[in-house]
Amino acid sequence: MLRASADANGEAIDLRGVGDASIDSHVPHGRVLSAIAEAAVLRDGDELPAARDRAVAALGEDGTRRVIAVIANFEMMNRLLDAVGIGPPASRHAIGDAIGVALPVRFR
Amino acid sequence: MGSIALSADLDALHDREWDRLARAGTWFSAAERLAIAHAARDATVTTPAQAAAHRIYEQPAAIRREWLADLEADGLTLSEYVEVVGVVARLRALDTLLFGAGHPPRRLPAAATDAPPTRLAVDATIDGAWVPTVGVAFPPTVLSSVPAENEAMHDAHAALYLSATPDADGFSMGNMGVVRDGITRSQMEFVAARTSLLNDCFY
Repeated sequence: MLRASADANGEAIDLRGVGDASIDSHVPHGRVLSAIAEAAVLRDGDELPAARDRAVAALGEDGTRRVIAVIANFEMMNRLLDAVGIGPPASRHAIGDAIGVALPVRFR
Repeated sequence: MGSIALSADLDALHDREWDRLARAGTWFSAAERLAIAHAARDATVTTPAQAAAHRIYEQPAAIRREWLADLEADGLTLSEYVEVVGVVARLRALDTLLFGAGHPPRRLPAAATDAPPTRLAVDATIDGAWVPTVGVAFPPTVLSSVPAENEAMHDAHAALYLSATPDADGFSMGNMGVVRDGITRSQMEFVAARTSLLNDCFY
């Protein structure tokens, strides 16, 4: 969906930035987004306040709240899919290479 | 700075979910649903449903078909399992929402009723997942064999992210140009992809 949305909006992004936070994804404020997602998903209470403050400075309170809501939504969706055994369709296997993440053997 | 307040619509979602938790579901009573939610958070488990709840909450990427088969052997039906998955996935979402915003998790409600579960069975088949679905299994149909859970999932999905169906205000999956609270679709999808990767979810 990231590639589809970027294509639809004429945005040039680097998908490797999803898998490696040190790579600039060219998504606006990508590193800020990555940092708050990491702190929230990994329940890192030490990193979260600073990550959230940076997000508020870059995106505003409403924007930061929405980012956290999207993280929460995918915490839900990830569990739904993993709990019932729905893996990536074969047509999407190449995206793992683009992101720089090896697809586990059980999905190949 | 510090914590940020939830908006009225996200507070309202939380209220709706707590109301759902406190009422009888399709295969579990209100008390059983609340025990499942407690087990998800604190690992105090005495039933297969509660054991499933904690694994789904904490280690979803470690779930394998063999583990689910063991739960079935211990007496948990696939329909019951689908209800557990729905309850726990939404609980995790709302707990993450509050954690991310800088607040403690909301205390679970008390049971609002001792009514029995509805036991509403629908015609569903195994078609691409470990559990029955109405139609082929993909994200919008994951919980479709338990309609109340499926409806609740779509409610949360629309409030937190985007609606799966066209929405009057444009906050829908089909709108690739959507901007919500200043966050562009590409930013949302970047966050979605990064979250999924951190959870080892490869869909």
